[in-house]
Amino acid sequence: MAKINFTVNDTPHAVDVDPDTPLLWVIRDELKLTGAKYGCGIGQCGACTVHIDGAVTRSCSVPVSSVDGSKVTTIEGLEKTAARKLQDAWIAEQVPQCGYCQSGQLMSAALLLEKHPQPTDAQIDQAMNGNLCRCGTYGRIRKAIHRAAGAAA
Amino acid sequence: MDLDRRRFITWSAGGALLLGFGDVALAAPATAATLSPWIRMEPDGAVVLISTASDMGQGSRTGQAQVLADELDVPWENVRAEMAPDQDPFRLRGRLITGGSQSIRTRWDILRKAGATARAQLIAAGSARWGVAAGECNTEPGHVCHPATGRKLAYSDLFVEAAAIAPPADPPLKPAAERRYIGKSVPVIDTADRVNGRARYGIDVKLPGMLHATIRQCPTFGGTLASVDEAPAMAITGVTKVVKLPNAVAVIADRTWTAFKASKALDPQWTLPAKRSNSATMAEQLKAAYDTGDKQSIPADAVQKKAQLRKYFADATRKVEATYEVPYLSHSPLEPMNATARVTADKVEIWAPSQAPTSLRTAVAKALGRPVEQVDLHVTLIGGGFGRRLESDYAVLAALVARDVEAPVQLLWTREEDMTHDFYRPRAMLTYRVDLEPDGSIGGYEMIGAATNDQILGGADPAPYRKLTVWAATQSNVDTGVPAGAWRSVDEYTTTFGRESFIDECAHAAGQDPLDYRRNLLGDNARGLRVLNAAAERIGWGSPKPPGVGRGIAMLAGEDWRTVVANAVEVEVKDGKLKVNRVVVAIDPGTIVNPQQVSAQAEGGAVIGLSSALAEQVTVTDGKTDQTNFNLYKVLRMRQAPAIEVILLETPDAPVGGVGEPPVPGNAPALANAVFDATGRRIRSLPFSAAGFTI
Repeated sequence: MAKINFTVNDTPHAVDVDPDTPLLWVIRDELKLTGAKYGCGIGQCGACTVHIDGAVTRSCSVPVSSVDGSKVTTIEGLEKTAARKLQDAWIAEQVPQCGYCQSGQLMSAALLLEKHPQPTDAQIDQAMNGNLCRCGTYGRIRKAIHRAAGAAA
Repeated sequence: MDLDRRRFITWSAGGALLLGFGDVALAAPATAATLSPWIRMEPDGAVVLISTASDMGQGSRTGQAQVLADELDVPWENVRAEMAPDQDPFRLRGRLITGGSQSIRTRWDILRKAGATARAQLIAAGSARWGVAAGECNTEPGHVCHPATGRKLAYSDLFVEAAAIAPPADPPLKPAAERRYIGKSVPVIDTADRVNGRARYGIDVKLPGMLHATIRQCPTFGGTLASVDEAPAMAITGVTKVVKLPNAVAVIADRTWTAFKASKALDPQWTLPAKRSNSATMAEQLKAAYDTGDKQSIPADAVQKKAQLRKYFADATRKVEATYEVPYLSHSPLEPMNATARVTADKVEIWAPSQAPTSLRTAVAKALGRPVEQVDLHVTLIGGGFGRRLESDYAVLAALVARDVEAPVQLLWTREEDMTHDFYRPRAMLTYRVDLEPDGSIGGYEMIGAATNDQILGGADPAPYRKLTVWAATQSNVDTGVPAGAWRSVDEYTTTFGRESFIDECAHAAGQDPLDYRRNLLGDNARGLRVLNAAAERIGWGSPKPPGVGRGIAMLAGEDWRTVVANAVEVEVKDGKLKVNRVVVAIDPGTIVNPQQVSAQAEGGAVIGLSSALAEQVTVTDGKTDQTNFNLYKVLRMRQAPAIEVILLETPDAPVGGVGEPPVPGNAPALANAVFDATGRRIRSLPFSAAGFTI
């Protein structure tokens, strides 16, 4: 076990866990924030996507020991940021079907818009390619990103 | 599909459960606020509509609520939807189940009548209060009105009185022109929770004192657990128990990760079955089964039809014959299999993302040797079903793991466990033959097939082609020991791929345009023709295209689904790289309850249909699944997803059809036909990646 300090959605946390534990399971089981999902455990599906110090990260594949001192943002913290407009666009376009992947999709989209406020389709492809959606909502995700980008302009 | 009136009344009078003013009525059913098992009015004005549909994002919970709310005439903003308990009158033919694209079409009449009945009782209560004739009153959302005097009473004021009024046997249903919600793109109930992380799936169930478990089942199908040394798992801090089951070992711990880690530390020894199948030899097995298998045939007079076909084929100047194959597919919903169980002396509580509550409860009861009445199931939001969660294996295992534990236990499978212990879409091989007359017409049409489960005769009827009157279809089964189950669109996926590829081949053999050829075969099927033409026109059929670009079309008329669909695809093939540029889905389910949700199903259906056709394939080596995670099982990603256009059509006098599955099957053959158009190369075996295309 090891003590690790980090910030999640602006709240400081100190956890005492097996340092190998992937960040995802600390967020879900210790902090009880269940918006980030387990999908594959190997960084292939993107359901667990969070931001660590402003970078898109697959939290299933990052040991919690590596985030000591870091700032983590999860879907639960997104609505307090400028990315709130993405969530509104997601609702306006009625993007989610089952919705299981959408936390991860939104986290990836949020940093895309930070980097490219008016993203091209190619930039959307690039940024969103790590997030699988088995229900097939890709077309609506693309529309919602464009809608949110338009709202920002 | 008439409401079972007697049962309805008996149930209502029996007391019960859901009706009236929320908890007040639950605690004291004698308040007689029992208006309908489908409707509950809360003191705060919320109208809770009971839905029979497990919510896996297919929108039918919202759709059912729209149908009920429309006839009941309540304000949409007050409507909440809630999952029905597993009991009558919510069951259909004895079961509560979400599958077969049936949530709207099988409840359409029931829900309309339930809504209209309650509305009529409310009107009767209002008119009695005013001492006027019921015929002088009408409703506006949430209120009974007396237009002559301008008086109004809220439903919430009338609910108790309405319940005392005998429900009319045959309340009038709204004419289509007066519908307020049916046919409107109302937003899905609870969408907001799916974009802010608050939605709770099976994996998100948290109970006081809950422990976490994971499982390793014998990787070889049919194998059993011989022995396992528990020490490496028990040595890990936080592990409370290792549970041995006949074909699996599970670890229970205080945290999910601890359970995962401890499970990995085990080295279970398995007793392997003598028979272990291999994908490499399955094609031969399937082919051999054409002659030797346990055959079934359709239609009912298949014997006579086959005699007729033999004569056609013997006399034919020209025959066309081709064989098609589809692989095993994994469902791979993004939420891996999981369930939470609390087993006590007199009760078994299960929290599970289930498509099949009745069979789940039955299976859990049987596994634990308990009466089914002891099994309480809480159906959670489902992170993807696609047919996988029609099975109950994952809940049974959770109950078995938790049975000797005081605390509730959440059993979560790793993705590897999920992918290697699926109930796969069966592998199949289908051979089609026809006699082709000089004018291109077909005398007789035959399909012979074999599958690793009995999933090919559904959809083998060459509907919608009315001119194909002399036909027969035969199937055999091969037992490979690989678990098989229903995968979104089931038999029709396989038979539509075969038939619609084959019809294309017949057209080319006859030297005719595949669209014209289909139009002719449709005969007097005007509904099919309209759908086919809509898709063809939108894809730009016949318009000039650059080299390397091809277009293909396919259609189906689902007999059970009662929905007609045409899929058109445009591809571009360059240096072996296959890119799908556009997909058009034209769909006519009779009546459309929620246009944007029907569109969502068509869009999603196109994506999963193409994903499976392009690159999905499960193979088996020495009795084990080769693909263990998404790095090996290739699911379509954003950059590969084409632009999808949906055309919604209605045939108001036709029965209401389903929409979850019908958009899926036509994509694979439309793609194959488009690739042939682009390259002259006919792909008869899925997926395309296995044929050397880069996706």
